[in-house]
Amino acid sequence: MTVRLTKLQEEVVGHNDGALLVLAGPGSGKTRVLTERVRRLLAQPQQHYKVLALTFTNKAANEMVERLQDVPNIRERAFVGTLHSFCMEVLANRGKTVGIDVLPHIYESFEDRKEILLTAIRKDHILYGLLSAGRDPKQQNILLGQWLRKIAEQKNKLLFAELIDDEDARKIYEAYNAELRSSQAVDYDDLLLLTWRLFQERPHIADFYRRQYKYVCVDEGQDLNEAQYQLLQALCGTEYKNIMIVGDPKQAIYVFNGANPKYLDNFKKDFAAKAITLTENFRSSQLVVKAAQSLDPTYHLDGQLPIQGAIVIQQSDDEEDESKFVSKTIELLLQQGHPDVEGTITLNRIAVLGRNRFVFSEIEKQLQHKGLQYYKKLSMDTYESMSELVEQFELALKVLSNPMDRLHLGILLKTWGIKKTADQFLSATPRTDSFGRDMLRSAVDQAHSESSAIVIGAIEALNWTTENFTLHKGLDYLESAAQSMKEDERELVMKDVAEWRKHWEYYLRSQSGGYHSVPSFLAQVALGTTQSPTQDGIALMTYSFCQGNGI
Amino acid sequence: MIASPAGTVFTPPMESGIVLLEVRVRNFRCLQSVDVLMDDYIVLIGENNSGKSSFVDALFAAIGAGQKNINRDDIFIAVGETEPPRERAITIDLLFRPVDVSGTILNRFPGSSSWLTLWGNGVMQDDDGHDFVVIRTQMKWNQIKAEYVIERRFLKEWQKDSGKSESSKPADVAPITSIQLEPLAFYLLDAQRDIVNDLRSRTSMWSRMVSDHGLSEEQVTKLEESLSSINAQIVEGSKVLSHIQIHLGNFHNLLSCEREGVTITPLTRHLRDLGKGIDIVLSTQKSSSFPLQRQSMGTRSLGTVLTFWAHSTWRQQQFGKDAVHPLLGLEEPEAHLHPQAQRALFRQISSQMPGQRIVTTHSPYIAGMTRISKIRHFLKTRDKVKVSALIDGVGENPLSVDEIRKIDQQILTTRGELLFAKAIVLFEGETEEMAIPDFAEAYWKEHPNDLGITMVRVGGYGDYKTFLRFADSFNIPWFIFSDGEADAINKLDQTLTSVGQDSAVNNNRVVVLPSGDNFEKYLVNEDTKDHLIKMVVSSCTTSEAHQTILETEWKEKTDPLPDLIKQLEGRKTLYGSKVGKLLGGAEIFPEKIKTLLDKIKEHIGPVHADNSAKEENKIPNDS
Repeated sequence: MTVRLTKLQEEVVGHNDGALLVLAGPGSGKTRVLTERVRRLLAQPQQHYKVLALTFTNKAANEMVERLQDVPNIRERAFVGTLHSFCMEVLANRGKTVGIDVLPHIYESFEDRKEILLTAIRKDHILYGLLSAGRDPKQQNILLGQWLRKIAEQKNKLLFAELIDDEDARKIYEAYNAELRSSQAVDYDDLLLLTWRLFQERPHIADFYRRQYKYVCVDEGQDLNEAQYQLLQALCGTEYKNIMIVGDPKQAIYVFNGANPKYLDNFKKDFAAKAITLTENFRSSQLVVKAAQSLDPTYHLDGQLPIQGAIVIQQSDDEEDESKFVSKTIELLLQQGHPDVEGTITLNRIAVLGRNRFVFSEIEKQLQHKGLQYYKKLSMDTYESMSELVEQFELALKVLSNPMDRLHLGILLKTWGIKKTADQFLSATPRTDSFGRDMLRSAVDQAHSESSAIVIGAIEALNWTTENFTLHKGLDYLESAAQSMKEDERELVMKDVAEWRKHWEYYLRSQSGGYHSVPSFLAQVALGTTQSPTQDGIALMTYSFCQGNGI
Repeated sequence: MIASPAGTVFTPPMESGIVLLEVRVRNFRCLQSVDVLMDDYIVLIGENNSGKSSFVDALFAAIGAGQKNINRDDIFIAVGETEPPRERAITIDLLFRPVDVSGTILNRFPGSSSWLTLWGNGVMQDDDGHDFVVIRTQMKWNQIKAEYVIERRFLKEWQKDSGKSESSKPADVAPITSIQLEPLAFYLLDAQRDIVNDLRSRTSMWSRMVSDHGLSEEQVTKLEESLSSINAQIVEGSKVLSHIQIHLGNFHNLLSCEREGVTITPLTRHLRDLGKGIDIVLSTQKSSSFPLQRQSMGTRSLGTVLTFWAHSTWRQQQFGKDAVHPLLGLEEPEAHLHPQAQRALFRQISSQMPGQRIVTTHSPYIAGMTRISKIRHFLKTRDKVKVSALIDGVGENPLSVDEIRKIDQQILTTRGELLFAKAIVLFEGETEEMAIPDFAEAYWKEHPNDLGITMVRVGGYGDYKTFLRFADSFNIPWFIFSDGEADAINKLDQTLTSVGQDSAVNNNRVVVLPSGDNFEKYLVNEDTKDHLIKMVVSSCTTSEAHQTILETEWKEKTDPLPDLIKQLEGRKTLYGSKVGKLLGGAEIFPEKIKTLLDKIKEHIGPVHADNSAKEENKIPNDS
């Protein structure tokens, strides 16, 4: 594949050694230069090195890997993934000194972590007093959330418990961490914090990665926070300069995470980085920008706009009329193409934007009617199961993966109407390799719930061992069990199952060789690496989604 | 954390940048649990069936070049078992570390190392932060598939305590791919190697090398044109071939083809097929040349070794010396070669062949050319194979550099066969050296050599030590037959104490002659005197008349014993060679000799001379 590049883009792609900061405005081909640089570096013949490409989202990582599919042995020659998945790799194999000896289990959901914190607080009557003092449950819940955010904030500043001055805050932090560890789990922020600590305490491990990866590329540099930036610094040490960060200070979206575009400036200073600014905007056309300015005179877009673009304003009588116009326009574009667009226009290259998800119903009807494939992109959260059955199955998988996961075991027991606590199960079941499954089996025996029988059936269908399992067989089981359910419930199950199948397929593709363990699968799902980057058809997107994804 | 042969100098230099330091094999054939320290080359010795071939095959199963034919029959079965239990897994762990050219182990892979790129996150750090790589090959029962499955993983740790090695955790990285193994492919040249077979076999190293000749397309076209023209010339010139060609032309009547489409090609028309017909012609000095199949098996076997050599250096050229780590297993380089050729070949293998080499041998000539630190001794007792090595500072009772030097000088260079002994009998005198084997043969009705028992005269007092250290280190049972003089016993006791043994009187493996006696004195007594006088007389006579005179002389002596002793002591070489045969032949076995021989026999158990037995383990084909 040959890619057309501008002169400045060429300069980025052609850059070899030394630190480089690429300030890239919207639509200036950020992903393109990043990908092409990795490709060029890996195309050097007879060179022994690898490339570390850190993206901000897994979607971006998967997209990059797909674009680089034609580079031989790409998965061996480059690590393309988020900073978090990189940390996971580091900790899983080298984290012994910071207390991680096996692949850690990740608690990603806010609710789960809140539950962990609550359990921890309840165990300490002083802390519990602090929480409950004169508050009703709702207020307590709000406070708990605040505490949790505080902990995350501290972790993002790379503060260990011993570095926190406020005694209460320190105790809360410690209690939460202890509770997490007792479930053999970590949270997202721990991944960064522990890896940073590891690199600090065992510099040769950071050195190992420097020797292994001759070049580091970082995407979305404007979204770096303190912990991430420090981690990158610890990774690079004092001598290593082959790091390139690409970012756009104007597109910072993760501010809630402590992210700050100032780290781009710090990077420039700390690494004496050369800076290249990409200004041409290939995404926004002149006409679109002009139109925006007519709505908001203060709207201003940096950089040149090489593409003219087209704008048509259409007034319609009603939603049906509007959707007819949209679908007709799409048909026209498919047939005739457009002068501003390279090559033919396919469904995958078309998007329809709407104010909110409800405005799409008429358009969906039209597209269905015309047989045009589409998909909806409405939120950027990780997928959450909608049906109770699949939700329970997911919980059971977590217990299978990590029998010490008191939290999810507890939820499952509650759902199944079992009076005994997770701790009672943990102490009553002998610790064998199949500890988790044995607990599930005895839980089902005591359950007062129809769904529990289906869940255990699906679990048994996995052919589970500590080293291998076949998720699709479990999903098949759920699907056939759903046939006898009420229609609406059945539909939810089918949708969930379809979603899990996608995760599974993507996981299988990303794991070469025959090694598929439940913990590694769930870790990949939690890290979001199993989200397929693209779907087929026209994308229907809400404005808020576009904003969140920098579109 | 990781033991390494200190001060190792690698010859030739280690250009690959890595070294295989240790191999741990668990439950593979007769090897229940063996650890073998590697070196630039090592020499495996031991009796037939002691597990040498199994060890080499284990390496082949782990990283061999070619088909890995390992199956459930390869699982170790203990005595009394008919089937291996399901949970028993074959495990072969290989420990690699980075080295510089001189073979000095590096703490870290340099950033430019091809291995770092190849193995990536499979490279681990020990507690000191030093890089290492462990490649585990494991065959174990898979419940889901209901069959044995072979898996290759990087390990996270290398256990210092090798007893715990099986519990080492695999690293959380993808299983090892064939691409990651290819650069360290282990080649095995088994005892049946024959270059003539290699030339014919499509799967041999030879064929794989020559099948891709690397000529340009242009050259190929040109050469193939000349081939066609040579073919035409041959057919034209040969009446019989043109005759056949014309008649075969009738094909065109029967099938739909052109008459011109039928041609005979005495030579192959395609360059790629030329490889199949390649022959090697050898002419030795002053003789006419013969193709290899007319050469001796020794030459043919040698041909395979040289082909491998060419193959490794070719791979080094193709991929770069720093990206290929040649590993060779060579069984019995001595096969069909005379001693001088054995020595010459081994000298080359040990000093010039690139990469790491594992040689198995039964040849004392080859063993004698090796330094003791390179020897790995395989010993099978009941159902356990034990491997020992003499590396200074390594092992339960480590030897000093000085001791190792002494073993090299005093034993290996002159008495290489000791390495192959089933038991060693040590004594001091010349008479013993010649007489005891004769006594033994008469007593056992089998020559001690046939039983694998080596009898050695140590240089003089006190030199037992080097032999004892050597024998103990290799688990070879030893026996001492000592004079009864106070001096001798004192020195012997000192030696025994210094190697941690009981003193002579209390030691079950030491036979001491009665107080004050030396061997000659001991042999002379009332029971033996008549035989001995006869021997002395017949040895000294020059004529029949002379004999009669001597016989009378001896008869007239009132106490002939002191004179007999004098005779024996004065001409040890002469009488030593006779006395054993003579007394043994007469079924006279002095008490102490009987004690010694019984002890030996008791210790090594019923022995059958079985030198012809082949190692039962199959050797994988290099295919």
